[in-house]
Amino acid sequence: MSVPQRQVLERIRAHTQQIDLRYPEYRDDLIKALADIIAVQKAKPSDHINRVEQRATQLGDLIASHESPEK
Amino acid sequence: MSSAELTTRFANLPLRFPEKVMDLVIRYTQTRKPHEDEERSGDLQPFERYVDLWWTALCLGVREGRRTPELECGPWHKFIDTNQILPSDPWRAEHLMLLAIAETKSTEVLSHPSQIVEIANEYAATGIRLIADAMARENRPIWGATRLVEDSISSLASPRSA
Amino acid sequence: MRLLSAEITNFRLLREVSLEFSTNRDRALTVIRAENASGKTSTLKALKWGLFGSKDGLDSVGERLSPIDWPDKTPCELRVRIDFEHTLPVQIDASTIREDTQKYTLIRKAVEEPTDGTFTRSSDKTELLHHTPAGAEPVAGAEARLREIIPADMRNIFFTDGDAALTFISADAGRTTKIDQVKNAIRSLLGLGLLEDVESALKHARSRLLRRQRDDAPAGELAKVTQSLQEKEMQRDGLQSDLTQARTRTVDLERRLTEAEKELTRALSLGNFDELANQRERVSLDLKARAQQESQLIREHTSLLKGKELSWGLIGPELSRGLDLLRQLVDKGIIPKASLPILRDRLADGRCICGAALTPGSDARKHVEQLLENEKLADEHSRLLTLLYHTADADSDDARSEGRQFLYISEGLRRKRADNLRATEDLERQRKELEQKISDINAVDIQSKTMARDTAKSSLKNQERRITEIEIALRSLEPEIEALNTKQRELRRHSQKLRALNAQITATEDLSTVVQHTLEDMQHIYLRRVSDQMNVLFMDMIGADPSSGSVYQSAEITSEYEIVVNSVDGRRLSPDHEVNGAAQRALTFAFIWALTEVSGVSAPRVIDTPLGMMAGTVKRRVLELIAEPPQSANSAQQADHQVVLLLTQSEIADTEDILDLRVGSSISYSNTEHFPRDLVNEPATRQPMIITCKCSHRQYCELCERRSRAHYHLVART
Repeated sequence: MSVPQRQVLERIRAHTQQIDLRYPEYRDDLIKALADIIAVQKAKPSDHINRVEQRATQLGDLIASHESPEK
Repeated sequence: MSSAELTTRFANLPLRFPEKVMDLVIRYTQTRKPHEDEERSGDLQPFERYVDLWWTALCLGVREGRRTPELECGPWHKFIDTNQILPSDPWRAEHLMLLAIAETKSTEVLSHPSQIVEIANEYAATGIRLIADAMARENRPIWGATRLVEDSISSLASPRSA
Repeated sequence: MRLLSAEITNFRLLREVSLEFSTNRDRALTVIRAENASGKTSTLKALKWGLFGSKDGLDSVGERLSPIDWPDKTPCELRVRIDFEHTLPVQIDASTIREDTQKYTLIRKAVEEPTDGTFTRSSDKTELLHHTPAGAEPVAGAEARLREIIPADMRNIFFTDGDAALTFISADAGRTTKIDQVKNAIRSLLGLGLLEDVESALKHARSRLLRRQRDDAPAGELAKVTQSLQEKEMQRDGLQSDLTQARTRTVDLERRLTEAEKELTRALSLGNFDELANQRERVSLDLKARAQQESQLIREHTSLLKGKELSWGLIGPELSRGLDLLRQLVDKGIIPKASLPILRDRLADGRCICGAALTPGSDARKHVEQLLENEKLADEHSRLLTLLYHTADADSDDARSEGRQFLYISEGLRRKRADNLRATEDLERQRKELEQKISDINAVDIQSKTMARDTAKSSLKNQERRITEIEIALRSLEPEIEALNTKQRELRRHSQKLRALNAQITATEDLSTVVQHTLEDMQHIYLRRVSDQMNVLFMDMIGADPSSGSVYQSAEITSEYEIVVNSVDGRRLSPDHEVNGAAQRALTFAFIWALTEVSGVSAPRVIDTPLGMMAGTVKRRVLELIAEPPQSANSAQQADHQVVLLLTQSEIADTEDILDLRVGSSISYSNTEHFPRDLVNEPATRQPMIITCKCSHRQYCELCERRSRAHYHLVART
C-alpha cells in the first residue's frame, strides 16, 4: 500500500514541535522513531507493536538517561 | 598408832540417840539416800555415818554444857556399838576418855567405859537438837551444821559471843 | 491490484461462473450485464468473499452462500478463485522508480451444509499463490498478504453496492452514523490505516507499560518495604537499647547478688553454728569440771564435819582439862613419863623420843629397858592412863590450832564453794547464751538473707534469660533487615526501572500524541482532498444536468465529516432529503471515488448497479468519469485502473457509445429461472443457476436473449 509517506512525515515533523523537549535531541529522535515504525511495510499488527515498543523503550531510556540521576 | 589400843577399852558399848530424833538423824545422814543425786547428798546429808552426826552433836552438847538423860529424852535408840565404830577413828576413843576425865574431874572414870559412853550419849542427846535445828534452818543443811560449829568455835575464842 | 479472472463455484445462483476481467488500460471497464435477480449481487458478494473472507467479506455471518436448492445435509463446497496482479512501485535509486507487477492466484474455499432451514459453514480455507518464473509459490500468511494488497477496510469502497453506498448520505442512517461512516471511510481508507495501526500499537504499548508499572513494582511496594525496613530497624534499635539496659541491670543484679551472698556468708559466719556449738561444748565441759569440783568440795566439807578438827575445835577445852588432869598425875609420878608402847617403838627404832640413840649397851637403852620392866608390873588402869596421857599429849599441841584449823578449812571451803558456784553460774549463763545464740542463728536472719540471696540469684537468672531472648531476637532480626535492604535495593533499582518505564510511557505518549495529531491532521488534509475531489466529481456529474446544475453550488465534506451540498443561494442542503435521487447517487459515487483516488490505493472498483436511478446526462457523465482513470491518481493507480460494472440493460441504455469505447471485457448473466418469462430460449438446464455468455452490452445470444432485446436495440452475437 502506498502511503504518502513524505507527507505523513512532514505532518509528523510539524506535530513533533509541539512535544515537550525532554532532552535536546528529543524531537529528532521522535521523528526518527516514527519514521522507523511507519516504514514497517509488511506489517502484521504485532510487528507494529514490537517495533513501537522497541522504539518506545529506546526513547524511554534516552529520556531516563537525560533525567537528573536520583537514587 | 598406839592410840588404836585405846579403842579396845570400849567393848560393845552402845552409841545411841533418843528415839525421838532418829528420823532427823536419818535425814541428815548419808547412810540412807533419800535423793537420787549423790553429789548433792553432801549438802543435804552432811554426815556420812550416824556416829559422825553423834560426835558433832555430843561436841555441841558439851559446849551447851548440858547433858540430857534418858529420863528427859525418852527411850534411846542404839545405832551402833563402840567396837564397830571406834577403831575407824581411834582418836575418838582418846577424846571420849579425856572428855570423861574433864567431866568427872577424875581419872577413875576410865575404869568405867560405860560411863564414858553414857556421858557422851547424854551430851549427844543435847546437841542433836541444836544441830538438827541449825541444819533445818538452811537450804543446805551442811552449811547450817558448819555455821553452828563455826559459831560455837568462835565463841570459845572470844567469851560471850553469840 | 488488478483482477485478471475469477471463478465462482456454488455461490448462490453462480453455480459455476468464470469471469475474465479487462486489463486494458484504455478499456478498463469490465461490464457484467445482468438483469435483476441475476447474480449481480452474488457476484459482488463472491468477489468480496473471495478477497476478504467470511469475516470481512460478508455483510453478515449468518448469510447463506450456498445455492438455495442445495440438498439438505449435503456439504456444499463454495469456491472462489481470483487471479490478479499487484503492482508496487520499487525505488531503484534516488531518481528511479520502477513498477513491479506480481501475479497471484487466490483460492478461497468453504464448505457449507444446509440443515433444516439453517446451515453450517466451515471456516475459510485460503490459498494464495504467487506466480514466479519458477512456478506458482504458495504464499505464507495469505490473508496478511492480501490485506497488504487490499486492506479489508476498502471492501465497501471498492466493492460498491450503489444502494448501499447511499448510507453515506442516506436518510436511514442517523446523522452520527452517517458522519461516522464518512469519518471512518476517510480515516481508515486513505492510507491512514498504518498510522492508525501505529496509534493503536502505541496505545497498546502504553497500556502494557502502564500495566507493568502497576503490576511489577508499584511505588506502593517500595513504600511498603521501606516502611517495613524502618519498622524493623526501629525494632532493632529498640532491642539494642533494651539489651544495653538489660546488661546494665545485670551488672546491678550481679552486684546485688554478690552483696547478698556476702551478707549471707557474714550472717552465717557471725552465728557460726559450729563455733557456737564448740563453745557450748567447752562450756559444758567446764560445767562438768565445776560439778566435779563441787562434789570434791562437798566431800571435803563432809569430811570436815567428821574430822578431828571439829572435835578439837568444839571440845578442845574439855580435852585440855582432861589432859591437864593426866599431867598432874604425871607430875605426881603416877603416870610414867614415857609411854611403854612408845618406848617399845623407840627401842625398835633405835632412837629415843628425845632423840638420843638407843644403841645396845647404851645408858639410854638401859633406862628404857628398865621402864619397860616397871610397866609390866603396873596394872591395867595405870597402863591405860599412861597410854591415854601419852597419846593425848602428842595430840595436844594441835588443840588450839586444830580449833583454828576447822575454821580455816571451813572458811576455805566456803570461799572455794562460793567461787565454784559463781563460776558454775557464770558457765551456766554462758551456756544459756550460747544455746540462745545457737537457736538464734537458725532463725530469721539466715532465712531472710538466704531468701535475699536466692531472689537476687533468680532475678539475675531472669535477666540473663531476657538478655538471651533479646540477643536471639536481634539475631533473627538481622537477616530480616538484610533481606529487606536487599529487596529495597532491588526495588530501588526497579524503581529506576520504573523511571525507565515511566520514561518509556512518556515516550509512548509523546509518540502517540504526534501520531494522533498527525492522523487528525492527515485526516483533515485527506478530508479536504476528498471533499475537494468529491466536489469536483460531483459538480462534474451534476453540472451536466441543467436541472441540478443550476441548483447546486458545491458539495463538500464538512469538518464534522458530514457530506453536504451547498445550494447556489448559499444554503446548506442535506443530501438525504434536499437533493434529488440522481444527485444523491452522484454524490455518493463522487465521495467514494474521491476516496479511492485520494487514497492512492490501487484496486478494482466493482460497482453493482451504479447507474440506477440516474438518467441521461448524469448517467453518462458518471460513466465517463468512472471509466477514466482519475487525473489525480498515482502511477500505480493509473496502471491498475480497473472498473467492473454490474449493469442492467436499462442502466446501459443511453450509454452504449461510452461503453463501446471503454469496455474491455463483457459478460452477460442469464438466470435460468427467468425462462420463459424473460428469457427467450430454454436453458440447457432447469437447475436454478446463472449461465454466462460473452455478449456485450449491445449483443444477445441464444443463451441470453430476452424478450426485451428489441427495446434496447440489441444485436445478435455471431
